[in-house]
Amino acid sequence: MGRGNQKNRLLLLLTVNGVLLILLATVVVVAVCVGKYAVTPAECLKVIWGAVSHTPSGCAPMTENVVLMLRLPRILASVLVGACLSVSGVAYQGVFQNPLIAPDFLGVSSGACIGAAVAILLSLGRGSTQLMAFLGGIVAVAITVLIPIAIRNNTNIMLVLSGVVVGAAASSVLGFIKFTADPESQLAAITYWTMGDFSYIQMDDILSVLPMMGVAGVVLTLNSWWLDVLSMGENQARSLGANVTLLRNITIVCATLLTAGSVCLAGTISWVGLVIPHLSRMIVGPNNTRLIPVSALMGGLFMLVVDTLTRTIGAIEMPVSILTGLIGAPFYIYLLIRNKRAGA
Amino acid sequence: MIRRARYNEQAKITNKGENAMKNKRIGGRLLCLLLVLIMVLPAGCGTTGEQTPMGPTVTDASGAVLALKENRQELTIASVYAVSVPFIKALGLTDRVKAINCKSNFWKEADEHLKAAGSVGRGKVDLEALASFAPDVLVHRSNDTDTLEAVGQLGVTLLCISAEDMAGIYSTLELMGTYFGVEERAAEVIAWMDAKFARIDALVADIPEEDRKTALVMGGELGRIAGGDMLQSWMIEKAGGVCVAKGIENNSNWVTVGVEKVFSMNPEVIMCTSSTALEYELSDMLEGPAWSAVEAVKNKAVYQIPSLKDSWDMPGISPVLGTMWMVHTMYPEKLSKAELEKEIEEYYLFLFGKTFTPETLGYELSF
Amino acid sequence: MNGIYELQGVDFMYPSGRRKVLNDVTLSVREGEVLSILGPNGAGKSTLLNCMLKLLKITGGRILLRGKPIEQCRAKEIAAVVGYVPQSMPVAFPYTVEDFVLMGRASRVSVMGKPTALDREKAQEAIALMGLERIKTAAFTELSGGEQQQVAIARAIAAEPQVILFDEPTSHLDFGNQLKTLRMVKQLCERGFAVVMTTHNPDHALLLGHRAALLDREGRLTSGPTDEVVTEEKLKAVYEADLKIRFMEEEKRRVCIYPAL
Repeated sequence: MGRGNQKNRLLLLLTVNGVLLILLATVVVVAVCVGKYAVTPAECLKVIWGAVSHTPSGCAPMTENVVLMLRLPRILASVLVGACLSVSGVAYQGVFQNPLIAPDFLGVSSGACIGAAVAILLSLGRGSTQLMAFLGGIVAVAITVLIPIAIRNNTNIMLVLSGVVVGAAASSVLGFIKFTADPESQLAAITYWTMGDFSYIQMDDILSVLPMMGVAGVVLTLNSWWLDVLSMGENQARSLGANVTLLRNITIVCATLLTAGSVCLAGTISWVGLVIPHLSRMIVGPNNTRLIPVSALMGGLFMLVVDTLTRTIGAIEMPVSILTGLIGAPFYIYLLIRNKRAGA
Repeated sequence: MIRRARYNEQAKITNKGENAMKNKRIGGRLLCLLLVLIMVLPAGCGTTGEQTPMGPTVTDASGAVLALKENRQELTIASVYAVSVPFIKALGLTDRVKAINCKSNFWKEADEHLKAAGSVGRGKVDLEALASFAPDVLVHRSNDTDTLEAVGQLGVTLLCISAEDMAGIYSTLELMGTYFGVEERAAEVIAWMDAKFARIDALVADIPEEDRKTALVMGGELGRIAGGDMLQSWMIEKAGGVCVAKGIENNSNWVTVGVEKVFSMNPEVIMCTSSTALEYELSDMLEGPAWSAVEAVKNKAVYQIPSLKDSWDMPGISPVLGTMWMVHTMYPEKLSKAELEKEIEEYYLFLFGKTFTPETLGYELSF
Repeated sequence: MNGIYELQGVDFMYPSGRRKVLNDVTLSVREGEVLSILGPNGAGKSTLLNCMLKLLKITGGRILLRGKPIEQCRAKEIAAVVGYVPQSMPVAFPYTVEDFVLMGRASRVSVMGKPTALDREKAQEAIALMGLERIKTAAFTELSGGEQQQVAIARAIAAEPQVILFDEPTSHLDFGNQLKTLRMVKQLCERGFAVVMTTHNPDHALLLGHRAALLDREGRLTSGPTDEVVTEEKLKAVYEADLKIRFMEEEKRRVCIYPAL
């Protein structure tokens, strides 16, 4: 199964990225205009232009508020989260040489949920909840990474097992926190947070995580060829001259920052970090240099579509994670079957 | 020879690369630290100070000071908080409701305005739906800062209520009465409730201590009871009973004490709430072999508080009826079935302007 | 003259092990030479290679790579000098042959960098050298065992190393491919690479000539010119089998064959 020479591959890459960008732009425009509150495209443009140029837009204040404070942050957040979760999935899969790894298996999501739950329990504000979620995710991964070092068995297998253990422990702790929470208000809030949703996102939230996630993404992109080498396995990579420990650590740190940032914005969203890298790999091949941008675009697009669906379809807004699961799981099974048939 | 020279060159390049790498590493770490700090600082900043509004104000249940609007008698309402519904109904505000979440269909079927109202969510506020209905006020529970911020962005006022106990119920009536410009009706409702409670006081005043029945209210699960500081426990005491859960408190919440504790408290009457769905049947207690030694089971005094469609032990005006029912259940000689039925009729006429059959409401008076 | 590799009194024992896998091993690897390392299963031939690659840490003695103790060498330094063709390469993702070979240039690529045009050129040269042009865009995971090994050799060559280590390169191949591989080893030697090859077939050592080493179950290594090391008594001591070594007139070489059953 050949894929053409260098020039053809470049062409394919440009085409794929180009198509994805156009699709993304289109869906963004559509997403700004649809929703339960009726806004015409013309009004949308007026409002956005008004905000950018600091002139009055001539539309009703409620319309302005809906477009600028409800929809725009939500759209940006879902694109950002989708892109970051996908890229972190690509990175984890490379580091652990396993296309079945998902971003949350090192315990980021579980740890973040605990952080958020504690914040909700103590009735801290929304900003503090996000911060605690972020810290919780980082602490969980730190524990996961330290266990293999502490028992002097610093291999990938040990890391995976450690992640499973930490994740399970975190679930128990979360269960306990839920148990002590006030069922009327706090329990519901914790559950909603855990299920993942974009509905109360504000621009400030996005801006506070954007720099960090941007840097992490850039570092991963710069290291993308080395990630290829790393994905050959520790021994092979080392014998080829890679500083395996350093590369692995950098990659895990960046991927974790991306995931933790996403979780603290929008709660736990599963399947995106698993399905999107897989799908991208089927289209542009396993080279991380190509895979990272394509996954980012595809992930952002996917997340935006799903989130827009959750807030426009049906009378009650569904948490986003449910829909990603409903779409993601069967699609993943389909991908696996297709892969098997192709004789892989 | 050539190879050796090449190797030395490579070694030099590698060394340079190493130093650059080391510097990059340190630089990278500093950068990450800086970024974490950047992330932390905005979160740490609090909200800007708010000024106290001029003119007449009210303080709602969350402590927020809200200005009384000039057009308060026309303010439109939305809510996702089902507890607000009885208050809205009692104060005659249903014609101002644009979107509501009711605990059961009963409310919508009993009031055409509520039936016509839309929905902005069932616990979590759907912000776009809220924007499209554009009410003036969202009535909400008082410990939810997220909603406060989000709703404030849309220019909708948040009015927080808290009706965990009788004092809360009264203050909610006053608060909403003042804020929505229906003070007279609020006073009327409060006076009506006072009169009913006065009647209950009179009925149970002369019951001797030793004849007072011990009782508790069972929650949605067996072993989960109403804490001593909950509305239901207050109702028991008001109805002349002795609440065995006094001293067991959990912030006005249900308490899972376990079935064994219930056995050791050994109440003479067990009343099951109708404010949440029960995960058991009354027969589980009446016929369960483990329960046979409990006084209430021996006396066959295990009941569910009416009614399924309009719970009489939920915050609102219905605790009046619930307490009446408790008097009848514990001391039928003080309040007969006929008298209770009359009270029920009066209650629904006062609130709804019509009566409902027991079947509609979902209850049965067994004696 | 010092060799590229000098192993002096090297010991190795696994942390949980009870016996020394390598016991006072002394060895020299010189340019332009083939060193065949023989030994029974489980003797520690792969371990020896892993120690030479610094994938394992020796517990005694020292290894000098180009005169420098290997502990002081960074992975990149080692990779610039030593190419490695492992026995098996489980690869999780379907990289193309080109990409696979390009990874051999990792020792020349900077951290956070990408391969340059020069690196690509060298990779293509290695592919051409190994005659792999027609499959260069195929996915590595879909190749046969023999083809994968050839690609791995190309990858090792691409780094322009001075010595190439082969870990049992012929064990999974049919006779035809075995011969191809052995010919390739000889050619590499003629091009100036030093080659170290572990094998459990003494005949291969005889075929390749130059030098050989015998690693026994106690971890002791005997090395020297092939004709001196690969003798019937030494083989019997190590393999506990009556292998026969005869001179074959037609091929003008010594051969090692099984005795009659």
